[in-house]
Amino acid sequence: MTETIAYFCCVVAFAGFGYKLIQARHTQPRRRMWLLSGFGMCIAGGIMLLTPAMENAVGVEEPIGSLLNLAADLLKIGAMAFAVAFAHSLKLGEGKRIGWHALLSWTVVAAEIALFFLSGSYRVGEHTAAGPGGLGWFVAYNVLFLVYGLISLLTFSIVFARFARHADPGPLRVGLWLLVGGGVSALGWTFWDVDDIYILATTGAVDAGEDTLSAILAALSVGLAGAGATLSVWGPAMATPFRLIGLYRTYRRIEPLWAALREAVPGIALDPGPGMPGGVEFALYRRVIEIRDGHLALRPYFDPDLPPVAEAEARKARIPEARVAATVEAATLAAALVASEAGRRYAPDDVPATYLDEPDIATEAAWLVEVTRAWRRSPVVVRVRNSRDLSRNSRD
Amino acid sequence: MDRRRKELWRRCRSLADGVALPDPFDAGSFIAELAAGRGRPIELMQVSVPASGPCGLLMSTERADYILYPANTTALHRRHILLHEVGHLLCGHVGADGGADGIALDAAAGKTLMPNLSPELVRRVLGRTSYSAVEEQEAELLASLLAQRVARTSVRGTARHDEGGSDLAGGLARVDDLFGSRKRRLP
Repeated sequence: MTETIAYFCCVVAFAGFGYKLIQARHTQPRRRMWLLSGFGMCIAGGIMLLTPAMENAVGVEEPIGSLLNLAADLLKIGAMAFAVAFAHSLKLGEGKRIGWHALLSWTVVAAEIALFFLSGSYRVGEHTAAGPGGLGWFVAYNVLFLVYGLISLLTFSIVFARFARHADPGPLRVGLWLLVGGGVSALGWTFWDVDDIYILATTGAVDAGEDTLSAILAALSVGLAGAGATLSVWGPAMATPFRLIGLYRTYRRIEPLWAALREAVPGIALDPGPGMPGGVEFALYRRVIEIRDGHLALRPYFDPDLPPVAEAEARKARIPEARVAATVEAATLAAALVASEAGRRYAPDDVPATYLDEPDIATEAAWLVEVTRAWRRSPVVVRVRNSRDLSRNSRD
Repeated sequence: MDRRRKELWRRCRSLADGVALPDPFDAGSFIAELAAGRGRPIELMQVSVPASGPCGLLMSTERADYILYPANTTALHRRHILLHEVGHLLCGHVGADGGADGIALDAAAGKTLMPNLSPELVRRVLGRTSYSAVEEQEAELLASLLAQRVARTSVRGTARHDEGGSDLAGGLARVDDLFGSRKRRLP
């Protein structure tokens, strides 16, 4: 059952790789696509050759049984070589020399073939045993495979970990960490061979197929790598509900400030129709712009002497330093609304406000969330707003 | 949504889809391309808007179009006001001539902001004050749709395919090109 699930994971991951290859065929250099394809084909072949179904199909009688093992190992070496070459191609760019690892890989392939035949290994049922006098060669064969695997997978993981550390937060970064996870799982899969070498050195024979843990690690490494490589396809779809909920929360959190400004300056509102015809992202953008429009419309009513007073009040009220600027902006806005209702114009030279330099909706919305928070909760702002309510009540 | 609103959305979406936005977005080059396409200069003037004036203004003369937008607001808001005035140009709004009664406020603001411009030369004045007029609604909706498209392109526009650089930035650009997100659906 475990093996079936593991192989199913591999099939799904390979489907993902196939999709990625088709998607990127026109945008990526041909050589890089070949490296990625080479990795996919080799790892698929390496896993497939050792499945019970394949062994049943071709049989395990000599020489096919032992050659099946050699072919699977060579395909795994090929997969690791392609993976490292692919990582280097991304790191260095197309056309740059990535020779040392290619040379190492070809040398290892040649050495592995030589060591395999020198060992005279053969299949005995479920096991592969070293031939007479060939145990040392067979141990060397397995040690070389292990060392090469560790070097290659470590190189691959380091290259992608460096990319992941420096990538901006988001699906790309998560995808890169998943690829690193795939590389680390593959390291575990390769390292698991240490016990095989110990068993081989002490008994002269080793299990020919993959054990359950190896199969799980193999599926995990291919699955994580496949998930990471294709995250851009399915990640946004998975993340969209959370992103929309976050946008809607921001939309609602700035509502008190927006509502107060809209009441004072009805002309700022563009009525797009019932509901959210452009979606929540559009609605949030509109709300941010309308708050800024209201801010500009109230500019004759901003008291130029208020900001330093509000700042001193905020510090006296022990408002955390990070929230002082937002508190001052909320207090000056509240005072402008009071002045607007009273018809008291100041006509200052400039509107006291924090003018964000980045034309970025997320940054601006985050700032307005802070201002709204101060608008609702800060004792400094609440005092100003209460004076407005008092003057309204006295008029009534 | 009533029929008039539906029609407004449809028209603005169609206009926004037809606009080629630079990637990454730069207001100066966008306006320059637009001016080149229309065969008429568009002058951008960042001004400190007077207290009682509109927060953005489009003035047209025989020779050129002038977009006046405020310095005293955030970068996002400035860009939006600029796109609003561009929206008037894209929609082909005519507003009213400089001497008409209905736009006395905009004309007065224009005069304050550009005192050297003779009122006789002004063919069109459109001020961004409120959205009661259909032309203002249309320009504002178009500006909002364009801003959404700019926000989307800036997400994808930060990293471009670059085979030349062998440094970390070049590597990240290649990684983003291969594994990065695709564009999302636009409103």
